[in-house]
Amino acid sequence: MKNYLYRWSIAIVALYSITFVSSCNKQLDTASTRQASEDQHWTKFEDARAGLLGMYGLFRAALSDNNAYWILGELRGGDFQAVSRPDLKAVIDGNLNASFPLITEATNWRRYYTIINASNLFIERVGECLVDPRYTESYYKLDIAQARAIRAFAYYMLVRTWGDVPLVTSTGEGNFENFPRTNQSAVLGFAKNELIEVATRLPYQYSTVDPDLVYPPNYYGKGADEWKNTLLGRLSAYAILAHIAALEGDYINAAVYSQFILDNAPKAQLTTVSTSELVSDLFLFSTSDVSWNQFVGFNFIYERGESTTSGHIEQLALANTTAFPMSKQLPDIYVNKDSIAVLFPRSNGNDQRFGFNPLNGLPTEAYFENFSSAIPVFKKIRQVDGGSGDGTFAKYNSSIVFTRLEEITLLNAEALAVLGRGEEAIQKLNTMRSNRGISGLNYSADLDLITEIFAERRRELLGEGWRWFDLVRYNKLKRNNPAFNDLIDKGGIYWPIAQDVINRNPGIQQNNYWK
Amino acid sequence: MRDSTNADYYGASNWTDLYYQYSPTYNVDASISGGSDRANFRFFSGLTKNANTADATSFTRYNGSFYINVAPVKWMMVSSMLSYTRQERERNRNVRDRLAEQRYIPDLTNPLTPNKELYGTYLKEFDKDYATGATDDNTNNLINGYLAISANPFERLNYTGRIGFDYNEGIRDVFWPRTLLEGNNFVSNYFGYNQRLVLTNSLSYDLEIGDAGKLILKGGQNFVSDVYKYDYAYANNTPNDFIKINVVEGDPNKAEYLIPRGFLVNYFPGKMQSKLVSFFGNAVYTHNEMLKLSAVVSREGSSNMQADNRWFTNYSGGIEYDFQDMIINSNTLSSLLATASYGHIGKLLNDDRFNAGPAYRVDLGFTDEPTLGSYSGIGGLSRPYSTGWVGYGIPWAYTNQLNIGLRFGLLEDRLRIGIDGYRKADKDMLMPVPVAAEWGYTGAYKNGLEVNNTGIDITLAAQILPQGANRLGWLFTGNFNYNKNELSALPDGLANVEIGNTRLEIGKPIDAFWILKNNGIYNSDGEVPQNPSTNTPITYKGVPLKAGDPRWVDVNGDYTINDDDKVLEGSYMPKMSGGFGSSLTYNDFSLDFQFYYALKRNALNQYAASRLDFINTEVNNNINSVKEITFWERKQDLSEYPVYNPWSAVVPYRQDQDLFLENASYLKLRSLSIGYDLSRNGTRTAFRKCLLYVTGTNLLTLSPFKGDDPELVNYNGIYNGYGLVNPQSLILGVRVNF
Repeated sequence: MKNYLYRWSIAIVALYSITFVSSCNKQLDTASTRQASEDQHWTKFEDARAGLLGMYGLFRAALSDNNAYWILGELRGGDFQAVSRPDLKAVIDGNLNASFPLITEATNWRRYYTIINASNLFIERVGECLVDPRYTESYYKLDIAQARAIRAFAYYMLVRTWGDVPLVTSTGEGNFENFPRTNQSAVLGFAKNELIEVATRLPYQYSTVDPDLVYPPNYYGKGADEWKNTLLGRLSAYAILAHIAALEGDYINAAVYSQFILDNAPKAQLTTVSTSELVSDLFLFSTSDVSWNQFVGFNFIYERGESTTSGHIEQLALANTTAFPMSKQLPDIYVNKDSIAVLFPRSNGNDQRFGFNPLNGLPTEAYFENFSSAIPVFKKIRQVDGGSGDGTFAKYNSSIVFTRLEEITLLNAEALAVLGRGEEAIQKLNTMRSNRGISGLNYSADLDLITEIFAERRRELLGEGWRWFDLVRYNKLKRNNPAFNDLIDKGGIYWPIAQDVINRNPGIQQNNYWK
Repeated sequence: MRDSTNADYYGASNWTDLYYQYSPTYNVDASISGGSDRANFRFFSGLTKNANTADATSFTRYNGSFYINVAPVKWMMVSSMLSYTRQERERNRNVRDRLAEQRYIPDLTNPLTPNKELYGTYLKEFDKDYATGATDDNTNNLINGYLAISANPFERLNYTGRIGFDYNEGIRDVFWPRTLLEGNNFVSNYFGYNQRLVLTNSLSYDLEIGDAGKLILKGGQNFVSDVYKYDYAYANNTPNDFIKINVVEGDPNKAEYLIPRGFLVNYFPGKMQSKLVSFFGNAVYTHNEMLKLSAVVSREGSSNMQADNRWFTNYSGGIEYDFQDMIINSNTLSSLLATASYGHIGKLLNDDRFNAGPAYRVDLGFTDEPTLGSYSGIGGLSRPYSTGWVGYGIPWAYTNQLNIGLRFGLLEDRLRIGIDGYRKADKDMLMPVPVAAEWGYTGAYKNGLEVNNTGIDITLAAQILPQGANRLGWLFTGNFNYNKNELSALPDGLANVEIGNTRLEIGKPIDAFWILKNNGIYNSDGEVPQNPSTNTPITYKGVPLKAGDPRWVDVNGDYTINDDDKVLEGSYMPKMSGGFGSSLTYNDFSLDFQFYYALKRNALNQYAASRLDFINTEVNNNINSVKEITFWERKQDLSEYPVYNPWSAVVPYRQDQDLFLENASYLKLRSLSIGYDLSRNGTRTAFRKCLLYVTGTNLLTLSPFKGDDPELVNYNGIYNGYGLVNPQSLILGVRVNF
């Protein structure tokens, strides 16, 4: 018995010793499952896809964070007023050095540079995925072209907001050098060259059957109908080019690029939309064909669980109306009746976006609801809970639409008007006006066409993040407002730079106007 | 309030009747043991219920454990333990916690009303007995056990081996009905576990050196493997409040396998793994029971470190000397012991994301939507811009610690004093350092953070009056700790780093608040100093100060108040802390009390700041503007603060100013207990001891702090007024020993 126990104990000791030996260094190679490690990455088709969509996702995040797209573009000097939030009021009044967290965060350009860093990294590294035979040369070329277009677009967004910004075109992984601000014309020059170079490498549509076999069919496993114009295509690149040209005051090129888009719109399934499509389907990226028209835009797809509360004008502008029972009683921002009257003068007749029905005198409610109350609700863009929501679950799906065919048409008209081709311009403008049910203008020498075109932009693009940048272009053309001239001359048209950005990089100086 | 005709806000403010309630607590233990020297067992079981007086919160714990020790042969002992614990928590019904989990901020203009009837209808929605009531089940199951062998096959040689495991699972099931969130319901489920396996083997050998010396040599190995799994899923708007779960197809061969039906489910799986291996050697030499020398060397490898920095060598040594022989003739000194030790110990990283250097993660979210992971429904990856860059070559952080101690007794040990001094240097720690925003990163993780802690601990026990029959006995005990920390190095040789609202500066404490100095109020525009060179008034970050704005001190004299004018002041960790108490006895009566204190401690009063900054707090519809039912409670008198213009664009009631820096020192009576022993040492009753007692806890707080309880300050020194109160309790008890 004793002998048996003795042997049993020896066996246990032996078992222990084996485990002792086995717990060697190899055990310590435990890769994290929560991230993709550097040495395994950029080896597969899926890595390229994840990197590509990552850039788009970062772009969406930069525009959505704190609703920056509207804070930076729509509010300052615009038609919206704050109901009670002092931070929004400060933005609207142009007091951009007020110390509200919203302004501090919206003036921080870090998120735009995540896009730029991600694009630089993608351009440098995605070629390594070619080891995967599924990742063909045609994928590679198309992905690089998109990355360069995304980067150029990010620089355009930076320049129009802050003026001179550092130009970073490589990853500089790990060294984190401090770059000074680069002159804005050099930054825009870089963006322009990049876009001109890649535009012809981008397709009009993704995933279509290409007889020349340049573009991959069934791109990343999705059909043309699923991609629609989610990704930057050829016309998207020209749209950005047209806006860069307009920002620089180079209206010749603005006219050329925008005309190219108008001429080739059908190739990318771009159309103008009816007023009812504008206020129902256009901003919802879904199975509806209207959403092809978001040809530079960022979507939040309901079916894919991308509904969010911020990143949408709805978060600021929507509230309870008799037709839409949201629990939020008052919006954060609204367009008051006086502004609505200026925007949609009765002399224009019955504008489908907002007007009064001549038969019963009731307002048409395409853009606004609760017009009879002191605070009308701006509901042009209202994509709640997948578009079908009744307002009780306030998560939104509207896409951030940078441009659509109407916007490009009006830009084209603006360029033509500046170039003295008023008759062509008025034709474009009148097409847009008649689409919304208002009568056309007659060409005459004393008609202030530029003002009319900007008035139409103001109506058509209300709530789409354009107002401030339109005001800047308009006043640069007109120079008839001394206060605005002062802003233009002293750099006050640019936003201040967040203190955090200045603290991190001693090479960055605050914009002179905001010092 | 936006609508003053809202009838919900009329009537008595008597919500406290429902919020604060007396709640019983109890604790029952039982244990059985038996067996012989060679084989014995012990079984233990316990039940504890702990409850707070606020918001019907409680915690119940069931516990059972079983121990068996067997010696199959004389020189070997096998022992095992198996223990099971179940914990159930009744959570609070805070609005903030709920909204944070729901990731949805409803319209906040109408908060909970202070009226009991209306508050009662809100509470009813949490009632589980309703078919459509809320579910909020929180359970933990813990199982742990070990099998250990201790063998002594030859004289002087000892082997010990042990396999231990630890399993801890947490389950949270939540359903909140439509009535709680603007007609939207919410369901979530969390299942997570921690699993740990520990394998230890060691061998030791005893050696005699000379007549008086004894050396024990020990060597061994240790292996720890941890798995941490956490899966979370949530969904909004099930078809109705009766449907609280999503029944999915469980057959993997079917097309709709695990596809949610009827509503969209957001699913977040997660897992972390880490392993730690170490080999150690240990020597202890004792001489005549007077001198004791010890040394340990170990080599540790962690899977959380990068491959080229996986291993680290720890070492430590100590000396202890007992002066018993030398003081034998002293009249006053009755004992004296001196100790000293030094150690160099590696610090583990508890996150596995540093082990691969630069990596790619899902980082497509933004402030309010951190979990967004896809674009157009396809997952996107990028560098970890939000969390920070991680490079290669991250070494182990380590601690060098020196301890020196002295323990002595006076007057036949009636007075015992221990004094320990230490100096602890934590070196090469990893921290995110801000880098130029033009790289996209919020920061880059770099090593090189160094913090020194110096301190002294004093303990004292004095038998002022010795115990005895018909005599008053008095035992006094106390301890005092002093600690001072100082930042001594930052990565890359930086002199200071600013991250959000904190500033780290070499030579300064790491727990200081970085704040503006407030000097009152400008009563008229004329009082605002003018910059003589431009003839413009002093500004706050470019916004001119006006009447009704605070008089912030322009430290650098540039006529602009900004971050350069902020100073480091105060500290949120107490410089001094400790406790003292006494035990008084007289025959069968006893009286015990214990005080504890923390001195030189500050807090930043966010509660007062956000209450006074109501203009900005109220109009924002975010988690910080949520009003709990306790909003109606007056936690602090706010009338002593200056009355600034609340609409001012400089945000006069900003939190980062010394107006809200508070002295959060305190002295508290932890417990007071009165007892009476019925047994008179076993002569009067059948028991060896039979004590009747009354104990009160948390009875008294002395503090200059302006909020409700200085202990409810967050770990980072911010007092937000949301903490659940520390209840006072009164316990009546009988303790019986057989």
